[in-house]
Amino acid sequence: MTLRIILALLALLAGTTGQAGEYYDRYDLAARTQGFDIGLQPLGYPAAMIGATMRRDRILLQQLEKLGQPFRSFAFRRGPDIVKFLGKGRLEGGVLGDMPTITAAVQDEIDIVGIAKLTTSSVVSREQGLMEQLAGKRIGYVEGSSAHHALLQGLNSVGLSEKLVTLVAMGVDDMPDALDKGTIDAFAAWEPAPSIALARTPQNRIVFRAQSTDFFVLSRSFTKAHPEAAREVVAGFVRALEWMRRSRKNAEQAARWAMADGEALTGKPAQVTIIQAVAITRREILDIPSAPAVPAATGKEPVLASEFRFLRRLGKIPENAPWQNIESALSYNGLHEVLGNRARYRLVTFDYRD
Amino acid sequence: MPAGKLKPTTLSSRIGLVFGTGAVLTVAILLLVWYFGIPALALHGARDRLIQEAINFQNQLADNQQMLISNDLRERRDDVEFFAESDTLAARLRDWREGKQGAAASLQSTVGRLSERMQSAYTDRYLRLQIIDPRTRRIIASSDASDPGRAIPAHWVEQALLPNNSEHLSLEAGSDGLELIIARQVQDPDGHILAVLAAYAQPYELDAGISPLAEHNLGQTGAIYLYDWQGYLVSSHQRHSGDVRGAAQPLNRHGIEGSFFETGPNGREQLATYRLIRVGASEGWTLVIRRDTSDALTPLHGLAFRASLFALVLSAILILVVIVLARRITARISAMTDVAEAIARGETERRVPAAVANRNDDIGHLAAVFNTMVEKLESWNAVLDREVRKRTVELDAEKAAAQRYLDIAAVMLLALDRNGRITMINQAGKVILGVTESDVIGRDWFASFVPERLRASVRDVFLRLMTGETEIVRNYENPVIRLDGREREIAWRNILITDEAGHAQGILACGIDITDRKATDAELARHRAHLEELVGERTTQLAEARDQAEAANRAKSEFLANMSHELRTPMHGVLSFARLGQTRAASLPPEKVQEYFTHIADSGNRLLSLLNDLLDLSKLESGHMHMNYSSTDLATIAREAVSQLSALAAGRGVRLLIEGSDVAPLSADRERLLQVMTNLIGNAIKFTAADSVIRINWAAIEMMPDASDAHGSPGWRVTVIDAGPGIPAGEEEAIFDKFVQSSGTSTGAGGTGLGLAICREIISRHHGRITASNAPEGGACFTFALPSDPPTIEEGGNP
Repeated sequence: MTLRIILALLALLAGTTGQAGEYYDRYDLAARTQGFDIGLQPLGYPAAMIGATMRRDRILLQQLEKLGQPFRSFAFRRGPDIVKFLGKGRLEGGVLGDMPTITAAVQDEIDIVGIAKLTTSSVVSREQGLMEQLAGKRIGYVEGSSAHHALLQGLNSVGLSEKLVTLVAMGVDDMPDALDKGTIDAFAAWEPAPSIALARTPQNRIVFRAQSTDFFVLSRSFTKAHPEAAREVVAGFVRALEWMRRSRKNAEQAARWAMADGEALTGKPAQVTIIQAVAITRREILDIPSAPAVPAATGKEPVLASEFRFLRRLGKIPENAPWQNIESALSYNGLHEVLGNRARYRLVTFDYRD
Repeated sequence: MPAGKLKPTTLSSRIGLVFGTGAVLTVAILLLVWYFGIPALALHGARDRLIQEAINFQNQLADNQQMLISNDLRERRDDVEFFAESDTLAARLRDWREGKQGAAASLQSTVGRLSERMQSAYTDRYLRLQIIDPRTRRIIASSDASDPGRAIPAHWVEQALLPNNSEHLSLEAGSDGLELIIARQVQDPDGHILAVLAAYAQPYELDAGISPLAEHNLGQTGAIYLYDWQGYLVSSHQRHSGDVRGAAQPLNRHGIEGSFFETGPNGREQLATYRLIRVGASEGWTLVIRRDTSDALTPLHGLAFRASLFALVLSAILILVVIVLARRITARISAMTDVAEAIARGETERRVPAAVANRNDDIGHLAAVFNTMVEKLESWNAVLDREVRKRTVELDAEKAAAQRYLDIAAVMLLALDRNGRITMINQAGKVILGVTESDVIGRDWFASFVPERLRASVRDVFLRLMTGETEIVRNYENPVIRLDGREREIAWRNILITDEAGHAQGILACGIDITDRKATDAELARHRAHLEELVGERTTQLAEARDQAEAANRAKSEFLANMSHELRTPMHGVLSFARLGQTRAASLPPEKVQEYFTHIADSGNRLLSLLNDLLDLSKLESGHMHMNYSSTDLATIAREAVSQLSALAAGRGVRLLIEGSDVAPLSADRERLLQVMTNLIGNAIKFTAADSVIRINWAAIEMMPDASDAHGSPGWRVTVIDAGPGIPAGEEEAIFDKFVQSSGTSTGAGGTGLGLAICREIISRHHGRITASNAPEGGACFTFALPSDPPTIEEGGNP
């Protein structure tokens, strides 16, 4: 009798666990041939503001509607979650970090439109001031992310490896709290987590930064099947950046939209302030004059080459993954076409709903 | 030990040494902990803190510089952006494109005014402004009047003209060094590029942005470098750089931010802080701050040295203070030690002085307790002493009782220790061995009492018994040597003495002296073995005895026969002549009657003599005749005997010749000696023929009564030599027997046959000897020897 009760409890527990599933399981992401579904990350800045602005762009919505590709957006916590649905007819676009971008590009499933962020991922520590002092410490990270890449770059720069630290996988928005509580000794994350941690106590400090880039990508199947719709989407992306560049007021509004979207996803208020969000966005995308154009190689390695090697070494992508797929993804000309037809694509006309 | 002295081994010096060592170690450890911290406990040392401060400073400085440089760039870019988006400039450019007259001059004028405005706002920041035709790459207008029309084939121009590159920054080599070029597209509302506005500026000067405090905190070796995205040095700031200004270490890291320990060109460890300065969409510029780690730790080293010095001095002072305090404390302990030593020497009346014991602290309490303890010990000792004495008396009594029990035993009880030494022996044992207890206790049994021929083997058995190599033999027989050297055969019965662990500690032996028994057994065996022989021998002896008895019987018969004859003869003579007298007295002449009475008298005398001899001999043999010793003279006795017998000798025609000395003193019974002389001389007269001489001689001699005597005693030898027929061979001894006369006597010489027997007894009673022999010249020679002073003689007493 006791054994039966125990088994029943176990089954109930398993069932409960199984019913919880992933947060995106409730999304209607059934494959469809018509429509433009985009995965956005409302927890990362400036991607949150870009996404929040785009989904409120009436011009974009109307144009896509006309083209028979109604716009839908879905909120994701992390880029790899978006990659799961890209290229399979379930998501047609997304804002991804460099690592998930490479993962998707290797599968020859995406076209890279342009950069959504050019910034640094930071390693934030509570008391240690040097990377080498993190040996043996617990470090929070998001596996396979640009912050993970930055962490490894930092460890390698002082002769350490992942084996010499304790990696603790966690959500990026949990990292500042975990650092405060002492659950971890440091974390590797993108904004705004580092800024949040730095603002909380002067004991928190950045011990390492490495460049990372977010990209706005479209599924190859969509750009091939619906090139005009794809360009309208690109235009919406460029317009969002231009609109936020126009005034601080616009940027602050975009920040408020992004915070609302983030709270809707997590159920918790945003940990970053509007000022912080605007500052991050301006620093990491708006103040880059060439953005959203992908920076040209300056004689050294091509864009994403280091990250490509990093993922291959980690085994996140097959060892024989072709670099040509990355080059192919980067060769998408949609942005150039849109920028060359500013009037047609109304890059300086703005109409956003609240 | 006086409390004032300080010996190397004293407690105070040990306390001082221990404390000092501990203090030094503690201080050293504290210094090390202060310097290095305890990483395991997340305790940061001064070194880590100082390095962290240096890191923080460098991070802060880097952040500040990053901000300043970024802001500077931002401002410059904003300036250029502002001017590039100027409606006036755009209008002038449109006019120029349209070929309107005066448009070029107007454009030039505009650029000139812009340049003046910028120059006036930012002195020396901007070098010049240029407007470049995107179609021809030529300068349309410039702040430098000589520039218009000149082509700029530079790569940066092409980059600045890219459709999506509204702004482009680059560093180019100018005539006076590096020049920062901020190029921005001037676009019409439709986004077409009208021209490129290029502002040439001085690269950021690090020196200008370093505060005095930052200068100070950079230390002696700190330096700041600014590199462009290709690794070229844009600007640098080095303290005390001398001739190395402008020279910089190569850029080690690209595209990252953070602080690292690196090895500088001089081989020293440096702390390097990197910052990225975003310049356009490229990797940007890299700001590097470097400083020798040792430089950062210099304040700490000085502090550490001073702290160490202070700690050592403090430790030394503490050690001295501790030693002084310890000496004060140990002085009291030393006083206690002195008292303890005195008590150990026997001065039990000593106590710890009241000055020490009455102090109200631990040592005072210890001293008081010590005194109490000593008194208690003294009291207990007295009690113990009494008990020990009492117990000793009891033990002695018990031991004596036990010894009595042991001594009661008729057998030898002997105890040996592991080494074979005697630890106990009872009285019977002592008797057997002929020793006293002090002779044996502690002596080696085997060396002292085991015969040499058996010693080695017996000792070997004993030793193997002690080591457990062999088992005890409980019953056996072994001889022992008495103290006087005689052996006794002993039958032993042994038991092993063991300790509580069962190890042999010795043996307890019980020995019975079986020497006599063994002798008896041997004798019996011999007797058993030779019983027939003994029987034969006995038979022979019995036969001899029978013969002797028969001879004696015969002698007795002969004596009786002789006696009866000798008695009857004179008695017949008496009675005969008496009867004759009775019958014939009346008729006989008086002379006949006289003759008859003479015969009666003679016979009577003869009978009397015989009876006297018998009586004398009987007394002599029974020991009832006592010798009356007195100092006398042998010569006088001899002459008296000669005198008594001279008539007889004359009657037989024999001459008596005395040949001895005139004086021969000795101690003897005079009468008995006279009797001997008389008998011998009388016998000689009897057996000497007429006209012969009987010689009587005496001489002093040294008598040897025992062959073993080394020294003899003075005496006299008397000889009487007759001229008779001599003594028949083989009868020299027999003639001294009773009732035995020589075969010559039986031929008519007469006698009772007792005279020589009587002489032998008398001489024997005088501790002398009498012998008979034949003289060389013929005749018998009777010799007797007497000591002058017979032994154990009382004057007039019996020997």
